Amino acid sequence: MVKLILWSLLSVICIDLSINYLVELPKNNLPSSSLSQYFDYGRSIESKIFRLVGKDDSEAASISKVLWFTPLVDDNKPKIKENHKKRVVIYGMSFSNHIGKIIAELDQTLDVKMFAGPSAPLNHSYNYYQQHRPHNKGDIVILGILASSVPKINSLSHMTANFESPLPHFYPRYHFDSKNNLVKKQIKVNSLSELRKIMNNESSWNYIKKTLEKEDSYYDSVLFLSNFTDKSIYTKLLKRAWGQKHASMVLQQYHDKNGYKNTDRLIDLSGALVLNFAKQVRSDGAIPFVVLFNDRGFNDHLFSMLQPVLDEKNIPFYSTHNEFPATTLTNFITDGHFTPEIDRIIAASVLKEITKISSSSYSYKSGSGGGRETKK
Amino acid sequence: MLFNSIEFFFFLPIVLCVYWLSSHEFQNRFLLVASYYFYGLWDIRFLFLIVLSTSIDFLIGLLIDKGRIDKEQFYKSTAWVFISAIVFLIIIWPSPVKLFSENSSYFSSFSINNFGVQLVIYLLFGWCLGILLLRSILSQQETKVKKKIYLAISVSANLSILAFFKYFDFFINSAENLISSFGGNIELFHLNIILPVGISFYTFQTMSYSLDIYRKKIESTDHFLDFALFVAYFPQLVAGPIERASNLLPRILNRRTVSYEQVSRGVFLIFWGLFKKIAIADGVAGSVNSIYNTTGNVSSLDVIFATLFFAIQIYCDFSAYSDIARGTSKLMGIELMRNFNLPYFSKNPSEFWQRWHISLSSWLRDYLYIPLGGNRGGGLNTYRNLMTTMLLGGLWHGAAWNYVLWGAYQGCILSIHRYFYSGKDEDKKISVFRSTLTIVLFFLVTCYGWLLFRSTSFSQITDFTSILLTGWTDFSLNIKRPPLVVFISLPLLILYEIIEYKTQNILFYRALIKPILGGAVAFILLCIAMGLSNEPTQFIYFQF
Repeated sequence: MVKLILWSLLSVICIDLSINYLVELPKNNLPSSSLSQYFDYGRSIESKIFRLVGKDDSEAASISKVLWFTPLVDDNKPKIKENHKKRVVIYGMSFSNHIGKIIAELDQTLDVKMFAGPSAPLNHSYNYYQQHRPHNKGDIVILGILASSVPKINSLSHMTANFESPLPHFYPRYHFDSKNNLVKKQIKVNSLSELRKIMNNESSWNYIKKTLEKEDSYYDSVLFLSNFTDKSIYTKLLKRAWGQKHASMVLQQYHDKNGYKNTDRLIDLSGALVLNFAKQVRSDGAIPFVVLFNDRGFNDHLFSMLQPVLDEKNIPFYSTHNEFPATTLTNFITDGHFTPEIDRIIAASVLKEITKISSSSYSYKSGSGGGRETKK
Repeated sequence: MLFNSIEFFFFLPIVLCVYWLSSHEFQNRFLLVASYYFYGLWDIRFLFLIVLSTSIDFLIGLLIDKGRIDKEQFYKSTAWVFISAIVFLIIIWPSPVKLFSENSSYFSSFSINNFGVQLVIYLLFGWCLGILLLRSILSQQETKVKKKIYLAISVSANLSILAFFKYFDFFINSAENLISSFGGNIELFHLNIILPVGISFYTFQTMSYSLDIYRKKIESTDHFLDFALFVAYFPQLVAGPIERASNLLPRILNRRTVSYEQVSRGVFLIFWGLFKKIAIADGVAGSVNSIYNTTGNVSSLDVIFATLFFAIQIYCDFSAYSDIARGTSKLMGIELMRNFNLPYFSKNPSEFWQRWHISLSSWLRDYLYIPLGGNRGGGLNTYRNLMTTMLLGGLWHGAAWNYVLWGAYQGCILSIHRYFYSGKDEDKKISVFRSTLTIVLFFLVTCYGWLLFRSTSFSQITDFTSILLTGWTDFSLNIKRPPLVVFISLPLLILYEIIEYKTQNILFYRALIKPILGGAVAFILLCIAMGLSNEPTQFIYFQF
């Protein structure tokens, strides 16, 4: 028995070293094989972020250089809308980007602008709109909401909520104050160079880690902090499993088979963000439109959660749940997105809706908080 | 508590340490508490059913065997029923201890269940009335008649519990559907109760005790708490193997020692079971669900792959549970029966049922098929008995028509096999090619059975069957691809089983030289570590 244990230990070491050697990640964030990525999923978030950020821009991953806040208009250029086209501005994630591109193809009289984050939650999109608002030139402003990202409303960064493939970007988390007004908490890091500077300063980086630990529901020190376990394939695989258990435990706090739960006022917050968005868009003289992407595992729960708010304030919306149920496997491709054919149908439906709304004569009770649209 | 959960990872070493350091009597008491804790973590209220079933069969066992019950035994078992009713039904316990759960709030509050109080009052009334009636009815009867009545009480009490909790809503729904198919519209009372985990397993186990005493195969026991352990023994409580009292009870009653051989084999079985469950069964579960749980269109290739994966899933899942149960029990010096013996190497349905879920198939053979007449009546009677046994065997699995259909399918293929091969020499030597071909062909026949078993509705069965028969124009593949770990683990499992089949030696791996065995252990550890990222699923047979 003792001999067997010793041989097993020796074999574990040999397998560990061999796999580590065979699937070593390339330097300078060059593309790696899927096998390398598979065995790297369990590395700590901190270590992954350090690698993504690199010592300078030449070493940084290309994804780290993008997805930071982008202004809606280039302040150096005259603020004139292209050929007097109607501007459609879309905030969301890859799902909304897919339909945005198709809308631009389908109706070339529209000037479509898209701003997205990877699986961006509602607070990310809302904040993006807030930052663009002073320069807002949109005629129609679309807010895309993804069902699986709703619980991430209680996170502060793409780091914590995506353990296997974290990204170095931050966004604010919203709370209600004692008077039920929305207040935001955020880590203000607006560029890659700014983040790199912080990460090179131990106390600043520790402060960020402390803030995440305190304010981010998805933070877990076992998964976040870099240590010796990042060296072994076996421990990385165990940490990956823990990461999935942790994500599922966090998700269970906010969602179950019956729908979303109001833990940390998730439902209230989502409704308030959508209402505030519609109210602000209307007060700026534009038309708000909400697209609800009900993806796999979430049935029609997003629709069920937001429909009362949207109906009450007459906020126009399109939800995918009826035509393309989340329970129908064939509606999705392997990475979880809708199939390209379905994207086209969704885009056409959204385009039809926004065309109908914008071509009718509508007046808005501006500033009435998502006030009812009434025909003249 | 799941065998593949973090909780069990802590539970088992603690139980083993206390067990190994204890005297025999304390071992049994401690194991009983551990078993109730193991079950109570799921839902403490249903522990009462186990105690009730235990008490009834304990008393009936004494009555059948000795014709009387000592006052002490009667009071002891009655006290157990009522104390457990108070503890498990009246007191509302705080949330079960959930280690590592951020929401755990154990020992935060206790309260009283008013419905439980009513239930206990009815129970007290019913119990006393039952005893009085029994005494007055049976005082005049002959011993032989008495024994029959006692047995009937035991069987009907156990089957009533099972029927009430498992089949009540099923039969009500079926009745409603039948009435509505004739144009009627009626809404009957539904229980809407959750199914107590493992109820089919422990009910059959306790029933076999009374039946074996009646047949004079065993003697009744006087030790209530030891009998309670026989019913609730945690390694096999919720998903078998369904043990016979003649095998398990003497091991519980007698002093035990744990040999090096048992520890070595036990550790191996736990290790191998975890590998099958975590790396393979949980790995293919997502692919199976992606087809069987979808409402969208699927192709014939999807149905084929999903069904093949389900055949792998159900085998790896269920045999893993049995392996871990046997392994855990070996570490305590208690041998449980082997439940699987390379079932996918069967060449015909008769052989399959000698290799698959052996504890259930032998139970059905001994307590249903043979009492019905077995093959003694010849021809049609044998087919009738086979069909009845398999239909009830199907229904045992779950309260749904697809299980009945699966049972009927098994009965049909057994009957067809019997019709063509009855009395022929099946052991004669055949070529390796022919043998392999027979195994593969019969595996495909088994797989169609799994399609019936796994389907979520009758319409899915008809849809999938028609896709298999006519849908050969669409070759699209929508099934979710299994994770990498399945592709590296499955060949190891197949290789292991082929060698075991060829050598007919379950301990063949011990002949390997230590470096190779050590390498295999390290590789299996890697597969388990990889498999831990699969979404963990409950053991399939927990629902039965």
